[in-house]
Amino acid sequence: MTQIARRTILKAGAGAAAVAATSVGFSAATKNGSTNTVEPFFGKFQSGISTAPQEHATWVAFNLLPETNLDELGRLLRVWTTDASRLMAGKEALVDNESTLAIGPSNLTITFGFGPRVIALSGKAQLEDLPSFGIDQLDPKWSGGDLVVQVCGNDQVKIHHAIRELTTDAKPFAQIKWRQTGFLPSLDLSNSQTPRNLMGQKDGTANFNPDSAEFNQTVWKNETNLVGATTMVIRRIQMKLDDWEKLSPDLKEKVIGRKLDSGAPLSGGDEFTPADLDQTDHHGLVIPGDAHMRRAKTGEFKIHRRSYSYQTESDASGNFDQGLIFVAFQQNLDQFIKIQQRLDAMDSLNTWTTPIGSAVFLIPPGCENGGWIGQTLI
Amino acid sequence: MFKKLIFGMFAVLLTAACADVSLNSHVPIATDVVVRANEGMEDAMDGAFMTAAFMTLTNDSDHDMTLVGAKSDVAPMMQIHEVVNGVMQEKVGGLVIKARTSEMLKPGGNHVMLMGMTEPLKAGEEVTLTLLFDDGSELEVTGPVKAVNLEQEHYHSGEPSPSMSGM
Repeated sequence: MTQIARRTILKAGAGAAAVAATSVGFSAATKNGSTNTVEPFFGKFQSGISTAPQEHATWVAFNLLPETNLDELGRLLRVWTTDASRLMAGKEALVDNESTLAIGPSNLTITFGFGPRVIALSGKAQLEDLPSFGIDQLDPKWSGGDLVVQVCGNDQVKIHHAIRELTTDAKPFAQIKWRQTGFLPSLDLSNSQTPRNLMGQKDGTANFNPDSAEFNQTVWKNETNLVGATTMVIRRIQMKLDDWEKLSPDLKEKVIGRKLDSGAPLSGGDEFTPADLDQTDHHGLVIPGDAHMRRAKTGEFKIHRRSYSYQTESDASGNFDQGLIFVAFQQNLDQFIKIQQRLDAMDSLNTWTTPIGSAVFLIPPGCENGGWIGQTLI
Repeated sequence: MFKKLIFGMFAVLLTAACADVSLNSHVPIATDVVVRANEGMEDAMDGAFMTAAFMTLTNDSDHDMTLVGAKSDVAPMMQIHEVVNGVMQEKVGGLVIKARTSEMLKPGGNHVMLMGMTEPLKAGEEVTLTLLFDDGSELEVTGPVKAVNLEQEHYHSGEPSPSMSGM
């Protein structure tokens, strides 16, 4: 979406869209090797946001049971905090259903979030659902939710086990609304490169380095009870690959505005070179007026993308579906909305992609050992 | 074996890291303390609630110690139980924790039984138990109440359940 060069020459006056530059490649796209690698649970921020993307991810959204009030939700969060901190450390959950599956966490991260209804109940923050977009064809079975748990890692069995334990914890309080699973290419993560999506595009080029001031400003909230919080957008975006694959390589690149192999803007350079949106050739604009990358540039509005690909099993007719679980973190949802409104109004890519699910969550700050996730809000 | 997850059962768990640890060298260290939630699990006969507490007890001393009982505000009657051939029963003489060893109190094995409760324990509550040892020493432990997928039969003595045999 927002295309911000992050490894390039700082070019004064290069235009609002090409401001931020850092001297190194994006450190978040690093796959850590060992099955024993433990990501930290406790701290100012929750894990799974600035964490280097892992190969696999599962999101489970819950709706609170009618009788679950804030006190009860607080009790669930205490249990969740205990179990999540243990599971991320490779330790069995308390009274684990299958304790052997907790060993070897493989960069497991567990992230908790609250939907608009919980935030309204709490009254201590604000979170409204997204406005509707013209391109949306949302299915309730992939949309909404009062709570979300994001579990990422490099071992699907560990992720499944963690979800199993956390879902058991939640049974007295909430029921599952939806569950989605995603994956990323090992090769790209191993090489610290921007992971490709199922259209072959590098997805997340514009992300800031998590160590940068720009990342902090883009992602983390600063309000008193929300220091270290953020918001998360999860959009399930179906890809019409049968139609997309019929396009010539040249046409595919014009749809995006970037070279497919290198991810470089069509105006030249490498993946992280700022696009020259004004460059023309004898056909006109080199990066077409409706190219995805041009339309996604808002200049001032940035987000941090952490998307995964998805595929479904076949249905009774042998059909299946694939696409992108678009995940973005930003201080305020407005940052995403401003970008999405531009894409909704005009984006060549819309012909081949359809949002079929949508959910927003406030991700509360992390906590220290002895505290619990959500304690400043619930 | 596979646990059958038929009953949506709840359990109370006492947290390990947060458990109180006595400095008395004659008392084991308790970790991973947890109590099973038992909301909606009242006994059909008398309407009372029962549940179990699990933990790891580590005896760092050079003397054997024996856990002989427990007390708590949440349950009028508590016993140390064992499971033998799938049948749960009171552990006669208590649970011995040998010098320099650990004993895990876990589902399907030894556990602290809470009985005769008039109110159920809800998931996410905190419960404090006082463990009683044969030399008269006591250890206070605190941990969370937690929902757990376990077969209900496991907590009723008498009838062995075939599906419990591997637990």
